[in-house]
Amino acid sequence: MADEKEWNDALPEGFVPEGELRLCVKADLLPDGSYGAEWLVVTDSQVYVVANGDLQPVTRLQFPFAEIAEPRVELLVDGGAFEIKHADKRHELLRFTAARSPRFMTAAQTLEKWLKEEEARLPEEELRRCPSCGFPLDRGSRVCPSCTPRSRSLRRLISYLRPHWLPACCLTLLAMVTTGLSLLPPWLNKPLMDQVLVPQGPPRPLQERFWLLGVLVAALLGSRLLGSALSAVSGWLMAYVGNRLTHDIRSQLYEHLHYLSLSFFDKRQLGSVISRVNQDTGQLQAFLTWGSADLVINVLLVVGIGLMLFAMNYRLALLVCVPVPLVVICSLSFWRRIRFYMHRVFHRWARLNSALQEGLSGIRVVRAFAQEPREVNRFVERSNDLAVTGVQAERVWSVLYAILSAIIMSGSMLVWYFGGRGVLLGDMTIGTLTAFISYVGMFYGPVQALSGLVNWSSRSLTAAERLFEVLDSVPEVEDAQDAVPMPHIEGRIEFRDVTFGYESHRPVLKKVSFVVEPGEMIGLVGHSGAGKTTIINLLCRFYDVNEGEILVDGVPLKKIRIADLRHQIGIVPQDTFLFGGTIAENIAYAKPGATREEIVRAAKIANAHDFILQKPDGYETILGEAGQGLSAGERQRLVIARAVLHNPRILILDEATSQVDIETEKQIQEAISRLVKGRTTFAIAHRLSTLRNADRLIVLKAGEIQETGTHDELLHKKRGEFARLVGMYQAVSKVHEVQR
Amino acid sequence: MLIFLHRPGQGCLGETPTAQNDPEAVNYLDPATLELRREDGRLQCRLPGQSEWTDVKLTRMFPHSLPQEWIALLGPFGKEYGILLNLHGMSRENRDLVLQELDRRYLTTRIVRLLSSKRRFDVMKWTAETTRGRVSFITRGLRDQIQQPLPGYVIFSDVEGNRYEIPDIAALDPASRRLLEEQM
Ligand SMILES: Nc1ncnc2c1ncn2[C@@H]1O[C@H](COP(=O)(O)OP(=O)(O)OP(=O)(O)O)[C@@H](O)[C@H]1O
Ligand SMILES: [Mg+2]
Repeated sequence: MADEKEWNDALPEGFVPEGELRLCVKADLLPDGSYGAEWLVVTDSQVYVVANGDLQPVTRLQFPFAEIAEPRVELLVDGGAFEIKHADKRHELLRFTAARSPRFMTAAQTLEKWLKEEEARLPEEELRRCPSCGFPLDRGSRVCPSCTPRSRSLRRLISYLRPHWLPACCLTLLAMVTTGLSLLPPWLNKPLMDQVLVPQGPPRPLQERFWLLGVLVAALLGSRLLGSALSAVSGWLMAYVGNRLTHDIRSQLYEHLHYLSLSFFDKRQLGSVISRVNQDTGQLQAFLTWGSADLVINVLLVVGIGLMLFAMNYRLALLVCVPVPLVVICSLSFWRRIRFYMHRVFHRWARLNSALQEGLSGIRVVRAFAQEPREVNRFVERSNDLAVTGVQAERVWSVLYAILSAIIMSGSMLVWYFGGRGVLLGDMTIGTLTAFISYVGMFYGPVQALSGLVNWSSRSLTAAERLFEVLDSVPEVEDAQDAVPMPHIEGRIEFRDVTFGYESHRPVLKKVSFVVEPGEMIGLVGHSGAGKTTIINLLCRFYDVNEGEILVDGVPLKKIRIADLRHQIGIVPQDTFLFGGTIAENIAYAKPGATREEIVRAAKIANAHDFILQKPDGYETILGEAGQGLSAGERQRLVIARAVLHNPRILILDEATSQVDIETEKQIQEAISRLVKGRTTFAIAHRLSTLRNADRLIVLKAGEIQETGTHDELLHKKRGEFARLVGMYQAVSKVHEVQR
Repeated sequence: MLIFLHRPGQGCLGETPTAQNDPEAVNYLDPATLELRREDGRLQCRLPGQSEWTDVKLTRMFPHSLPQEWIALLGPFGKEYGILLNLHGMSRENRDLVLQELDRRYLTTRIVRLLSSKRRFDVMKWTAETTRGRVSFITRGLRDQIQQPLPGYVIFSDVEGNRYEIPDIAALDPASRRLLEEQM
């Protein structure tokens, strides 16, 4: 019972039930609909509903365990209610929000089994939470997105630099040198003034002053030239490191996406995954390429100039620092608003893009229903929104700049006034003052840039974090530690009491059991949504079962190396998908080294050969994105050829011939029946005549196996589901082939 | 989006089918003659002179734009008995029964006031005053989690699978509105 305790919620403090505790689930709504805790407590003799009383918990309802019946959850919109029957009357015991529904669902199922005196164990904890902050974690996720420290992500980002350490070190060095060089000109200004142009004390000979002038100007020119050259080099290096680094992350991300379970994609919109790959890496790259260099250089500049200022005249330097807090505060407060607008601009861009994409990819539908003005309006509206926001953002920017330059100017004025007094009083030379003034002009720029850069870097770190989050989610379907290689599958398949739901509390398949012998052809029949494709998804191990087991050749599916399994399964999926590229490439997709003869043979089996030859470029006809330029039936035949060439031990045809005419279907069928000899085959079809070659049929209804048997057995079974389907089918299609 | 909101008399599909036996006709029920009662916690309905429908489930067809109109009466396995276009002409008790049952079935929490929003990376933590009391919840991945089914109508979906709605942004107090707009 140890794990049951783990699943159970804690009993309300101070509540002592009668008998041995078996189940305790906490609900989060009170009968009047407001938030509050109530508990369903089940012991071996009693069922309680416990509420919080004034001082201690009180029992709101109580029933003897043996007298209740039909425990179930009524699923409501965004919540649910737990009900039982007692003395033939229905009682609503508790209410809860959607977050709690899965737990009460499990509780109801378990309770029902106990009432029937069946063996039932509570599952282990279903939702993992972050131990330190309680954030609900994705299954398999290792890192809590809500409380991982920022420094960790930063360190991780830096660890990507390791392969590029040499350019990175060069960059740091270059940044220092460039900063030093940019500090040089004002420093050279000082002797230019004091010794050449406006000499203090006894002037040197004119000749010497000419010579010095030449040297100093040459030095100024040299430092500027060298600075430009070095910044060109460092810009190039920076671009190199930034691009390589994002390339590394981007590739790793894409690779990782391909190994993630399909349920990862079920839960997310493809658009937002794509935007992670594109935008987040783009943002990261922009920062790594430009932002990080700016950050380093500006920090160095602030420190360097600050030191210079204090070394020249610490009293004036203190004056310079007076406006600094103002600049920082101003920049920071403006950054909040700027970020707000930038966020908005970004969001509006996304909206504009989606209108653009949707409108153009659906252009046939738009035209067919003559809705061009509506689509154009939608786009124009969004474009206008974007323009408005752009102007607002720009306005904030310009106000910020105006204010900042006013502050900075007033700072320099202070220096002019007090520095000028110093010169007049003879405390200070003109050269020192001009140098000082130049440094001050250079000083506020970096200070202001830094406050913006801090923000930029934190946003880029966020982008990095979002990427890491995807990288950190581990595939739910993974090779077991003790996975066995299975280079040759015979094809015996067994489903044992398989229960599965895409969301675990809503089962799609319920206790499905069947055995398929090697080489058998099985037809899966049932109405739309019965769970046929789901069976196939489980067999391919796109998802793992919730309960029960699938065995291939007697080995549990979870123990078979996934790569071995998938290499020996050929699937013609319900939604045909082709890649951009030539027809030949598409047919050879699962076997890139296939010879031309193999490709042609596969095309012939799939009855695709003839139409391919009708294309001017034959097998090298280039298909557009997602196989555009072919009819639906032609696409389907290419997909069949692809599965055939794969030469699988287990062949799966999910509505493989739904788009072709009866004549062509018949030809494909004959070809496939030659092909499937010795292979286990699953065929799904709504057109029941398609399945007449099947050895056995499995009839599904709402996730349960209704009946199995050969075609004839099922046909002659009175009141059988299959006989009913065939009857309906015949009535509709008037094609009597089904009866042979 | 609004094309569905026409009244039948306005002929949104050209002409209004009136024949009782037209299987495609929208089956409107007359709120005035519909008999309703609650038994064993479930709604039972009857049209005059017909047998009783047991275990009737009320479903809003346009839950966001017209929560108290276009209400479908569903039987077991989702079979539709008919549609109440509105509750006009219904007796007071029946009206209360319908409203009560709708209230029982729709548990989406309604936000009255947003108190705070804190952002950490992709994760947003919200605190809000709702019709059920104060609550904090977490949303993640902004654009997927805050949806606008109608202009001015916002639905948050939190990480635990709960939803929270704001039926009319304009009716919020300025502080809440600012919090919301900052994130949208
Ligand atoms: N990725 C998914 N996430 C959640 N539910 C799903 C998913 N895929 C399918 N379902 C649901 O599971 C049920 C069974 O779907 P399945 O695809 O197995 O039906 P099917 O028998 O193949 O139907 P059809 O003949 O229309 O292809 C359906 O109710 C469907 O809505
Ligand atoms: Mg299917």
